[in-house]
Amino acid sequence: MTEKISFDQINEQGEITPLVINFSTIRNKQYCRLDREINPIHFNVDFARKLGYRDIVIAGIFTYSFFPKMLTDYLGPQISIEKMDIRFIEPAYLNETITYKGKVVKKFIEDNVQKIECEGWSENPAGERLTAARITVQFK
Amino acid sequence: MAQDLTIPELKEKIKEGVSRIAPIRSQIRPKTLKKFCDIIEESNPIYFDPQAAQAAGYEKIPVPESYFLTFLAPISQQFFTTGVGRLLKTYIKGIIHSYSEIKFFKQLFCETMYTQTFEMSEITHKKGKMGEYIVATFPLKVVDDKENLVAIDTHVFFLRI
Repeated sequence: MTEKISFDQINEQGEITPLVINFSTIRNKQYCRLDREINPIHFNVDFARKLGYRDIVIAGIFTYSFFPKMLTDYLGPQISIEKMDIRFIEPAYLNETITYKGKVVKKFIEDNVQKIECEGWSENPAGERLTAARITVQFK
Repeated sequence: MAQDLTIPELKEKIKEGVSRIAPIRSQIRPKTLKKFCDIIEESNPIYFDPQAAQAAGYEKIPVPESYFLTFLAPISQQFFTTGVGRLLKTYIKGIIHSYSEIKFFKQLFCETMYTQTFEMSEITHKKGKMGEYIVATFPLKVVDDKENLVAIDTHVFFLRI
């Protein structure tokens, strides 16, 4: 588990340690089973291709999960997410390895609570941005 | 383009469908959360070990923010069935989740009852090089039994027509 990084140690424009995830067939199947997925685009390749996608599309609610994880992996369990805006730009496909990246854009104290604002994004192996996020984190 | 229904009529059908989506009252079970943690390789024991959670100062197992949209999956999926199920294939060819604006007000915990609601706040029509869409915005709210707002996901779907 991550060692704590204190609020004072964080630099604005500092990079957040990237998180690399492979959306393997097994992982996707396990997730679809867990959330009782009903949209065939997330588990049926023929359906996905009929809609113009080249393969099974990983659910946005699943790809979202790794932004909070990237932040707690980097900052430790002392933080919580206050808010997050996430835009899904391009799909992540089955068996792709996606890299989650981010940087701290602002560090501030609001109502006596230490907070940071981060910009986050995910990229596919070709370097294309798949999602873009703006995340406000507070230190407990 | 929607067959037989005009765009305003299709919008009304969607609004009508959304009004049929009933709130869901549920809790997050520790076993389910553990499975989720295994899938995303979350190793912090406070999310699956009651003793670790207590040692960290929690009375119950806390739920990581990572899990939030998964927790909302059942009510989101009602949009596909109860909501617009009758319109799928004929009028709606596909649904894309394009954006979420998420706010957390309180910590979510396992074995605690929450009520999820599905509303619609905005519906528009867009046409471009990628096709024709109805764009709808849905606030998905989670409240606890004291009716405190715990978290909200303002979810935007692009419905391809």
